Amino acid sequence: MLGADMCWGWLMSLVRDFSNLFISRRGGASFSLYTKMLLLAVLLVEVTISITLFKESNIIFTVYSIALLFALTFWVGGFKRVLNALKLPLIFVLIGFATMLFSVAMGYAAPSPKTLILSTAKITALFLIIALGFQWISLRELRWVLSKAGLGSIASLTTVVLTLIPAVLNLYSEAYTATLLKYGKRYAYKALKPLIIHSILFSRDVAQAVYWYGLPQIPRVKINRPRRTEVLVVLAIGAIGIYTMFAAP
Amino acid sequence: MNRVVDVKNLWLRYGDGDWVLKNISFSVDTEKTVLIIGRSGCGKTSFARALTGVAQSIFGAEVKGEIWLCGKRLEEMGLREIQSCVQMVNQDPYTHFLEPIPIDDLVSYAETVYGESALEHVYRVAQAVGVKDLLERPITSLSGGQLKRLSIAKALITNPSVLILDEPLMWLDDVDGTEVVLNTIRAARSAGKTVIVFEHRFKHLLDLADEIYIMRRDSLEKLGKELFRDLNTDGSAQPTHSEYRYGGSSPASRCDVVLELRDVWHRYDDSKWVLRGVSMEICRGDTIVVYGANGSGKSTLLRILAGVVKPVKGVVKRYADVVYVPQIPHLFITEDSIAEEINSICRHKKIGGNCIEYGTNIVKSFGYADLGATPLNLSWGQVTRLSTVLAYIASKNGVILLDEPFTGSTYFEAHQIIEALQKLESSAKIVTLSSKDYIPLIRGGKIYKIEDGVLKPFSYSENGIQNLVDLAKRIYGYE
Repeated sequence: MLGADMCWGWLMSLVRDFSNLFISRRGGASFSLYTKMLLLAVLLVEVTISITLFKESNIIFTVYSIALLFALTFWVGGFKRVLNALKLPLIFVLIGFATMLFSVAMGYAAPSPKTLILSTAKITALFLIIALGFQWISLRELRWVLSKAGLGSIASLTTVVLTLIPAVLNLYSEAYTATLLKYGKRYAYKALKPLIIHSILFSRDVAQAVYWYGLPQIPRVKINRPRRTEVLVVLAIGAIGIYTMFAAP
Repeated sequence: MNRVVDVKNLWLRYGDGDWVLKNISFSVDTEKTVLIIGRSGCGKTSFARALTGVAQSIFGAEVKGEIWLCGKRLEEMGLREIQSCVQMVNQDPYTHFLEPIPIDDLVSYAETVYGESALEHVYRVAQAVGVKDLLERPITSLSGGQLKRLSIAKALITNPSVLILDEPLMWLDDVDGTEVVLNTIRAARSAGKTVIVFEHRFKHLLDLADEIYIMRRDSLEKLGKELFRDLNTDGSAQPTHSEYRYGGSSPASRCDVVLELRDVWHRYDDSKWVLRGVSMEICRGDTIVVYGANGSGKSTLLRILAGVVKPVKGVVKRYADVVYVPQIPHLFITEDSIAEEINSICRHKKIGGNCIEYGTNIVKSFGYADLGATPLNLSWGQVTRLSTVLAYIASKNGVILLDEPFTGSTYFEAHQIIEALQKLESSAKIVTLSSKDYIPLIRGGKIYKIEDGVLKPFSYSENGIQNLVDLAKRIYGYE
C-alpha cells in the first residue's frame, strides 16, 4: 500500500508540475516581443525540419539545439520549473524509446539505436521550445499577438482557458486522491463524477466572474522595437542552426 | 439618506425546484454596513447572487419581485452600470481570476475602467488591501486565503457604491487576514460605501455592523444588537514550548501509530521552504489541529499526508486507511444523492453490520432530512459538513484529514461536527484551521501551529466560543 501511495503521490506531483508549464515567468523581459517570437519560430522551424527530413543525422544540430534551449530556459528563470514540468511528457517519450529498444531486442524491424536516441532528443527539444514559449511570452503578450492577427475573441478565450488549466489539473489531482482514499483503487474511476460536478460549478463561477469583470480585454502591451544586438542574436542562432543542420553530421 | 439597495417581495428558485427565497423584502441606506447571518443553505448566497443579477443571468434562476440598485431597477441597468454600483466577492476566490498572474488580471480589468492609468489604480487598491506582495505570484501558488484578499482588491477596483461580501472570512487567517477584511470594511465605510456582509463567523463583525439581519427562507428579520451584547469573545494566544495536550494520552505513553512524518521538507519551485523538518507521530484516537496563517503550509502538509503531494525531502509512513476531504468539498462527493453516498461508502469500504442505518442516522442528525437530495444543489457550507460527516462514516478506524472543515458552517454546526469527530475514538483526526475560533471546542486535541514552515505545539484559551455556540443554537432555532 505504501509503495502504491508513494507512486501515486509522485504521479500527482508530476501532474501539478506539468500544470505550471502554462504559467509565464517574468524573466528575460529585456528582449522585445518580436525577438522572442522570431527566435522561437526559428528554433521551431529548424527542429521540425530536422525531425522530418534528417531522421538519422544532425547529431551536432540536436546537441546545439538542446544546449541552447536549456541556456535560454535558465536565463528566462523557469529552468527548474520547466524541467519539472517536462517530466510528465518525457515519461511518455521514454516509454516510446524503451518500447522501440525492446522491439530491437526482440528482433522486430525497428530503427537503429542512433536514430532512436536522436529522435528522442529532437522530440525533447520540441517540448522545450513549447515550454520556453509559455514561460517567455506572457499571456498578455500572446493575447495582443492574437488580437493583432484579427483573433480578438479567440485571444480572450485562450487566456481564460490557459488560466484555468493549472487550476483544473490541481483539482483533478485532489478529486482523484480524495476518491482513491475514500473507496480504494478499484473505485478510483468514481472521481469522474466530482470532477464533472465541480467542472459545472467551476464553469458557472467563471461565467459569474466574466459577468462581473468582463472577458480579458485586448491588453495595452508596450512593444519595443528589437535592438540591433537582438537581431544579430536571432540571425546568429538561426545561421548556426542551419549550418549544423546541413553541413555538420 | 438614500436607499441604495431596495428589494421588494423577492422570490427565487432554480429550475422547477422549491422556492429558495420566499417573499423577501429588504432595504439598505447609503453608508450603512449590514451583516446578514443564517444557517447554511438558507439562501444567503442565492440572495447575494440575485442582488447582482447573476442568479438570473448565469444561474438561470427564476426571480420574482423587484430589485432596485443605486436608484434604478436592476432589469433596466446595463452591465457597466451594475459594475459601478455593486461588486461582489463570492465564496470561492479561485474563480475570480481570468489570468494566471494577479497583476495581469487586475490591470486587464482596471484598463476597462481607467485606461492608461490602470496600473496606478491597481497599486493603490493593492496597497490598501495589503496584497502588494502577492501581485506577481501565480494564482496556483497562492493559498485560498491569499486569493480571497486578492479577490477583495479586484472588487474594489471600480470603486463601487455597494460592496457585497459573501463569507469574506472563509479561509482567512486570524493572524492578519481577518483584520484585512475588517480594515477593508472600515475603509469602505469611511469612504461612504454601503457594505453588505453574509458571514457565519459573525463575532468579528458585530462592532462594524450598523444593522444585523437573520435570514430564513421566508423572511429576513432584523435582530437587535442587544442580543449580542453579552458575548465574551476575548481570546488570548499562548504559544508553549513543550508539547501541549488538552488531556489525552501523555507523550511518553505507548500508542498505536497510524501516520508518521519524519523530517519532512517541502517547497514549490524555487520558492522558500513551505515545510521545514516537520516530524509528527499520529496515534489512533488522536485529534490533531494544525493552525496557521494563510500560505503557512497547512494544506500542503495535509496533501503530503494524503499522498497528493510528494515531499521534497523526508519520510511519510501510513499504517492505516486515510480519508481526505479537500478544501473544496465538492471534490469528495461522488454520488447523485446523499443516500447513495452512504450506500456506496458502506459497500465499497466493506463496512459490515448496520452501516447504512448507522450512516443514515448520523447524516440525519446533522440536519440532512432529505436523503434523496442531490449534493450539487446544496450550499457550500452544507456540502462541507456533509463531506465531513461522510468521511466520519468512511474512516473506520483509520485517519481522517479535514482541510478547513468549518467553512460555511454556523458556530453551532461547527460544534456539532467537532462533537461527532470526538466520538470517533478509534480514528485519528487531523484538522487544519486558519482561525483560532474553534480551537477551544476541540477538547483533548493536540494543537499545533505552523509558522515559517515549522510545526510547533500551540495552546489557545478563550471563554467566548461556547456563548457563541449557544447563541447560534438559539437564534437559528436548532433543535
